Amino acid sequence: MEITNVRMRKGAEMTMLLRLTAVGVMLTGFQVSVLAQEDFRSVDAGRPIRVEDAYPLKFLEWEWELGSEFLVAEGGRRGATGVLELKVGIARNLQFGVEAHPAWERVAGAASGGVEEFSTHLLFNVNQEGRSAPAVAFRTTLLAPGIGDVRREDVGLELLAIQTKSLSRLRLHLNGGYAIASDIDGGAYWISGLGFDFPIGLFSKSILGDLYLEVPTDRSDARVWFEVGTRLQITNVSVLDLGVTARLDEWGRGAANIGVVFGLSRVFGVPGLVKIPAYPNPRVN
Amino acid sequence: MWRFSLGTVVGVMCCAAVSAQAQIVQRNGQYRLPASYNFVFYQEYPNAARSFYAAHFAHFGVYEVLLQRGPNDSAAMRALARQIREYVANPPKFEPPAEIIAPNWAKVAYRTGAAMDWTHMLHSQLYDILSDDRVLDKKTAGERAIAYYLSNAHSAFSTRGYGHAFMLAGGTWAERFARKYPEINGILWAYHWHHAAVYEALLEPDSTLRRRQLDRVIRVFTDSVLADPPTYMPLTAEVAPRFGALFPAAAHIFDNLHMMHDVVNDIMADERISRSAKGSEIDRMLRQMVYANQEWVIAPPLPASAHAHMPMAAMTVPTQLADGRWLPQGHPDASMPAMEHGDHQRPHEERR
Repeated sequence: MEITNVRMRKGAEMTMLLRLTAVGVMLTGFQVSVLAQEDFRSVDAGRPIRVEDAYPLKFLEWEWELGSEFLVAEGGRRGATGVLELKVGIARNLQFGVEAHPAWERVAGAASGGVEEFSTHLLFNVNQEGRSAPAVAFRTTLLAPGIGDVRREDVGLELLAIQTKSLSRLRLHLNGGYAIASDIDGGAYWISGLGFDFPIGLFSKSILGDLYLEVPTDRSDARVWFEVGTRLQITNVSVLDLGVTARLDEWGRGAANIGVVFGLSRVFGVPGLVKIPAYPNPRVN
Repeated sequence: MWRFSLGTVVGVMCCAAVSAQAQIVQRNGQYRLPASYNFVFYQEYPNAARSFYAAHFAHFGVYEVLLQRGPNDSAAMRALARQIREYVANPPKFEPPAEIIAPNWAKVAYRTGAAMDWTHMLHSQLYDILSDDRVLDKKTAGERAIAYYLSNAHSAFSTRGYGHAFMLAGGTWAERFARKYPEINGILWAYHWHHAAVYEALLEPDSTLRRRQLDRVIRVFTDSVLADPPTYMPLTAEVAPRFGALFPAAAHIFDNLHMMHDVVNDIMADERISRSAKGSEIDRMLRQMVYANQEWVIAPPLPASAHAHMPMAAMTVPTQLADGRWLPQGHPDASMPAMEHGDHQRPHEERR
């Protein structure tokens, strides 16, 4: 696995990843009030696919997510990346989130690890899908240097336009954007992705997949991912993702690789942050 | 090549975003009120909780079939009725989202679907409050949930007692669906009985009695009500008088939700309304029935023919008691309307 846009350093072990995983496990116990996983179809970057859908969390809805990817590649390369995310609907149609991206890699016996980057995002949904118009959203993500050997060096910015269009129960998600990054972090690149999700029956299962590209502006080789997975609603408030991923551009260069992805998310509300008006004693006659 | 293609993709997406502005319907989702009682009904009485899911499927399934197969496909409707009965017997483990059941209808009438979902949320929170023994002051907790619900005023149904007014007299489409598809319409009205009957069962003072009453409700529903469904839409307070007296505003909210379900059925089943016009007619009716507009809306008077097949209890009007409390429309102890034609849909302060 290649951890993109990250300068590799030697000497780190899995300790950092384990610590971050522990933080994730602690977060799984964090629930002020658990509520229904009302949009179990919501596609989120990194769980288990990279493409995002155009729909934000509801106003006052909170969600934490834990995503992990374990990858093996030809030549003994091993790696793990993850995402820990907390997000909230801060207004109608507007979502805010913070994320940490731990990563670990071992190449030729040398391991490196840490937190690749911290990030924060805003996602604004312009509209609900209509009969002809797709749902449209814009997402901006600010990326900051992480911790350890795999951290990015400079601040970066990602701008993404997102469309979701359904054909009966099949939903298609188109992502297109541009990422600004310093040369030491790999330089700027264009982003494009096409994903789908399709529910299986009424029983809160779905399959998902995507093709996702990052094309550097310096004319170096494009990075291409193909991912497919499934999503299962496991409780009224929790969703589990499982999937497989592969870097097609590396396959094209003769370097076989395959990864396994899993994710977990849970929604909740925070009573102290919700303003409840006095009972208006409304008119009934 | 990649760069040209990606630039084109981003450009096209931005153009599409701009063009989408012309027909914007915003999602405007709001999360339910966070509270410790959420999901207690599901946890304590899972069979009763899951018994609702077939109703959810039925309502949105009808809309999708009528949209996709047209208003006159009886075979498709019979197939849907069979599927609903299968879900009655074997309900899904979790509530299926409306946008999965009716993905195409959701694009036509998103606002109405969202208002229905928002009201289903209040339904479930009041079930939770009544199921949770830790909630000692049910009235206060229920009114907090109702106040939060009403704060989303354009997605909340009116608290006024409109009874059957809009479904029987709201437009030329009235009763179209019930006449065309009596079997599936009967299932839907049976479920309106079921929703109210569950409330009444949950008002029993302890969990043993509640469980016993819920089992009875489900048994009566499947053996009797579903087998011989109501011939008119039952009102919440008729079936659940204790619940109606405790939360008169909620009783009306749910009656108006149920009436809106019927209104949508009728509009979707009316072949005289074009496919493209159905969405705007549904939106027009929603605006008549939401809390945000209830101070200026005047419900249409019932047609005289309605009186012939409706029991007396359904004809009662919201009635204020001496202590200031209200009894909702349909409550057995509420007053009958004045005899002037249509007057029973209007305020009756003069009769107090």
